[in-house]
Amino acid sequence: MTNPARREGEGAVLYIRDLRTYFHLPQRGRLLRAVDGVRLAVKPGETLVVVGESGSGKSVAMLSVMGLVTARPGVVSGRIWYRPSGPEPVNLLEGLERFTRFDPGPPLVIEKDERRWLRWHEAGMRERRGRDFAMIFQNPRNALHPYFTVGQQLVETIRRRSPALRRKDALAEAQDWLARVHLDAPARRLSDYPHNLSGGMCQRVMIALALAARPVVLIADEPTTGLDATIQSRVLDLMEEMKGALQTTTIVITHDMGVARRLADRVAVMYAGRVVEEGPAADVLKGSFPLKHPYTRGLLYAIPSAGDIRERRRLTVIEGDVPDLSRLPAGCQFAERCAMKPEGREAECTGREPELARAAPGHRIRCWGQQPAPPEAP
Amino acid sequence: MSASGVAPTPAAPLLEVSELRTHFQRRGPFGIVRASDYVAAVDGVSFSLEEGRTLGVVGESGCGKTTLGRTILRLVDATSGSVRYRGQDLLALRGSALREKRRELQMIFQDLDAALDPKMRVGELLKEALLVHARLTGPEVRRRSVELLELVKLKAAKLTAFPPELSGGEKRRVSIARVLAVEPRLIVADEPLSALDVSIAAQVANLMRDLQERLRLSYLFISHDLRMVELIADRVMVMYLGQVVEVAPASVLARSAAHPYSRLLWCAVDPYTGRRLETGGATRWELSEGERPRSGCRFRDRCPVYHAKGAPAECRDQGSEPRLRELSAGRLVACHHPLECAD
Repeated sequence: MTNPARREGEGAVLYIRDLRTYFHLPQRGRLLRAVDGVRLAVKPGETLVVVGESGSGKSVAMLSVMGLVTARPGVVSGRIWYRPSGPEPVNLLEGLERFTRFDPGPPLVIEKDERRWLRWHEAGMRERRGRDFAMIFQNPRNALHPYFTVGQQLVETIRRRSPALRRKDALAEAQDWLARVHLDAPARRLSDYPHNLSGGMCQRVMIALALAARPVVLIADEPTTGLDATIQSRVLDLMEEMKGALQTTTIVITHDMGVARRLADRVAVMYAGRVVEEGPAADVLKGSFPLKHPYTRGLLYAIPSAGDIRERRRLTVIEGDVPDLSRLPAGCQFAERCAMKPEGREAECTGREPELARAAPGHRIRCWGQQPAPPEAP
Repeated sequence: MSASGVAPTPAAPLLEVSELRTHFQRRGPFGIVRASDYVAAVDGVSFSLEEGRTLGVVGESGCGKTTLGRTILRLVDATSGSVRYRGQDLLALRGSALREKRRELQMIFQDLDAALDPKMRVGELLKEALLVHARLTGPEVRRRSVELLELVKLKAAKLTAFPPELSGGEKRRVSIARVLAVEPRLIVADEPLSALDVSIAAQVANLMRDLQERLRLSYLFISHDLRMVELIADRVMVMYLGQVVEVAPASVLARSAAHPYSRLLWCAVDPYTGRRLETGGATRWELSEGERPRSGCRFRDRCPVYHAKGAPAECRDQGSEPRLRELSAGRLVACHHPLECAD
């Protein structure tokens, strides 16, 4: 096969291409473009951190990968190439075109046979979920089943992964996992229900559950949000430790630059349903690095630095608010809030949307200011 | 606003809290209440706050920081202790005297959706707050509402919006405007920046500092975001299980905290500063409900120093609870074995 798309995603376990996930807003008769043409790639053993504010589409993008989007019309276009091992990748959205007619327009065309698509897609995803892909959810207390003990839930996961394993051995392994996530008295915890545990403990059980499945790709959605700072830090320690020990390919979704700093090999910054910057963690997260999307820079400066605190400076902020995803402007989505529009070329920013273009090897930025002036339109 | 032009007087503190306790009685089976079965949410807290200053209160969830704020504003009843505002005991006030004082002491609540009635327009919300303490005519209300929105940098067009139509940052601004409507002197801000996006939190932090400067407000700034606390607060008070374990200027705490718990908190935010506290295997991540020690140092189960020193008796015994004492100028610590600090 000489499909250029496949060659482009070479070496990636997961290669998401042109993913679009939309939702109807019936009350307002509009369409919410939650994810609008996202491209992301993760290499084996790598940790990709997707950062963005609320409404940037980071969670919806990952739910689309997991096949957990049920709102309509949901995923309307894109390919998700999954290559666990061996040369031939599988497209997780295989068959989407058969049930969907999509044209970004204008005029915009979306026709989707929702029921048949969901049935078809679910059949393909059910066996992968929890085995190829595991997910750590944002609210661990809600994600754990309240009627089953921690032990029962772990044993179920373990035996799904290795059906030949005897119950006794699975239970021993479950206890081992609880010890690995530093729960004290793991033997006793096996018979605890989620409501017996504190938030931090639930989060660790959740991590144990996800890891016990030995997934190829682990997706963690805001793994530390809502936990106390000291617990957050130890959960991050734990994730770092597990990353070192298990070499699991991981995608972390977060709004916290601190989390990104701790865990990321690569960082993708999302804004208004798009990836606006993607590159090596060290370059993307360094405020003074010359190649940078203005939004990324704004996010980095919004966190008080040691210097800000010492001199009690005002924070440099991104003015304005997160855009309404059902009413996006024509040009660059960030243009309205951007304080760094290239001089003399502001019209480009509001006129046409920039591509996610290569700024350096392995580093892409969606910004006219980081790109040479485009050729005149004919 | 009317409150400008006050000459800076560093005299008596605006707010003086001493030995404040708020205990919540627990109900056992069949609703039986036993005197010994209570949760000490706030357990002997003392501090003072000067006018125009900000005291940051930090600590994990359940440390009593929100209850402390609510107790000071008389939203929950104190068990014992005193709260003096400009020399007057707030806990002794009743009826209209309390109502009058409340005008000067206001709270910014954490939960925005609970704080703003979704069925009232922004204009109505502000009007309600404006009319609590003053008799204003329609045009006056409108003029003041627009002024208030300007103060929090919102457009007058938002007066007709309902809260669910606003973004998180806008809701936060409206809640601040509503508080400012009664022209308070002291604001207890309970996690005003949590639940906001990074870029919006920074905007609100700047706004709160501008307002403080312009209106000479005093803040009791409750937060778990240590970076923001450092930026906004002059002094920071660290609480653990209802007690104050350390008070120091914000910059001092950030550089080097003396109490092992404060050190643990700050290491958690910034793990790469090289001040990392070695947490041995024996220390606990967290305590579950019902494991709170009632005597001795309350932090000992999670304290690396306690474990490293082989569980010394003074940390364990009843009657030898560590008291808050001055370790160096401006730094108070409640610990028998404070960590070395480069002061």
